[in-house]
Amino acid sequence: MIRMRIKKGSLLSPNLRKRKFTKLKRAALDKKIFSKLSETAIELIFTRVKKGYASKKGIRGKFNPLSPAYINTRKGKRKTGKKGQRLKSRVKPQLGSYTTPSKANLTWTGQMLENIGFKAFKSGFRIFIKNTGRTLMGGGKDKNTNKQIAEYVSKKRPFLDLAKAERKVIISEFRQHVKDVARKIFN
Amino acid sequence: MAQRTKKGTRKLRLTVDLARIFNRVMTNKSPDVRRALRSKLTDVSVKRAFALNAIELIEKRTLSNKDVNGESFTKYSKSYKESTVFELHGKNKTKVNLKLSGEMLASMTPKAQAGTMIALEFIGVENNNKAHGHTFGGGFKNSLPVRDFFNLTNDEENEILNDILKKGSDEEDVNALAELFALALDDIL
Repeated sequence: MIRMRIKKGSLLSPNLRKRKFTKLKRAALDKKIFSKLSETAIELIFTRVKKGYASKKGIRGKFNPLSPAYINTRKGKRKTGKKGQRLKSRVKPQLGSYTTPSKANLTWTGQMLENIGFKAFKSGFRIFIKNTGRTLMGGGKDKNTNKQIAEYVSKKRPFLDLAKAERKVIISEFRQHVKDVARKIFN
Repeated sequence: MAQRTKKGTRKLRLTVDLARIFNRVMTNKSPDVRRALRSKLTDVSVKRAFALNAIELIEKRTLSNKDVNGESFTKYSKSYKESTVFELHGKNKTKVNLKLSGEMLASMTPKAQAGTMIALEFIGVENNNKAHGHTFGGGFKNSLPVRDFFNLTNDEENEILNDILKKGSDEEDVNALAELFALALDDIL
């Protein structure tokens, strides 16, 4: 949540400082802008993950590579699951978009990344994976939800975070919004 | 025109001397007015306001498919338009705006300089290299065309300085408030 206080020695002229600040705060902070920013953030996370990059505490890095056995599964050379419950025959799985069998980008069916949701408030936003149900690749309902899958994969491949450069994109968009609103109010 | 580091220099930097622009802009003013306004040029808030407005102008110009000379950028190559990255970011094939994720343009930042000088730079090696490639061309196999976006023309410099000196504290306030809000958001992210 955004909390701001004007410090002493701020660049603002002292007489108008307080009035302008309060006025701007009321006008610039609204759900609409934070919805827009969350959509940008989701887009940034989605594209980063699909490109195969993780993000932990603001630092971006490649995802851990997939194990050879799992790559074989993705190629359709091995049955999925220990008991082969999910796919009974060795058919080539229909992987989600923007992936290949050996690419580590958290995409099997693609459902988890398509279920990134957001909640915008008057003074901030939150991004999460929706707790929605999943369909198995071979048909039928998965017992795990997208949220559970995300929690599991995040242990080894953290992704639901903004990298430093991504923060800059969001902040830059927000700064521009504040400037536009301020110019409208003051000029 | 602003001074830019030459091709081959690792760090891409644009240096602007406010005093030089001031001499160009304030030719018709009386010596007293000139003296009074000139003293403002070393003011941190004026320098910062100029830098932020310059960044905004470069960003807006680039996003509207215009280079520093006002001409359209060279079109994207066929292989780039057909690449997965291009599709993944949902980019428009005909709109050349040097924006894939937006990181490069967002990383443009002012750098403190002595006296009446200000400088603009890119944060991060990757963003700096990207911008360098666009500005001077080159890249792997020399396949990247020149898309000169990181500079300011004399007219643009004059316009920014005139705006700041005319609007005075209002423009400074807008920038200062925007910074304050941006810092607060940076804290919560």
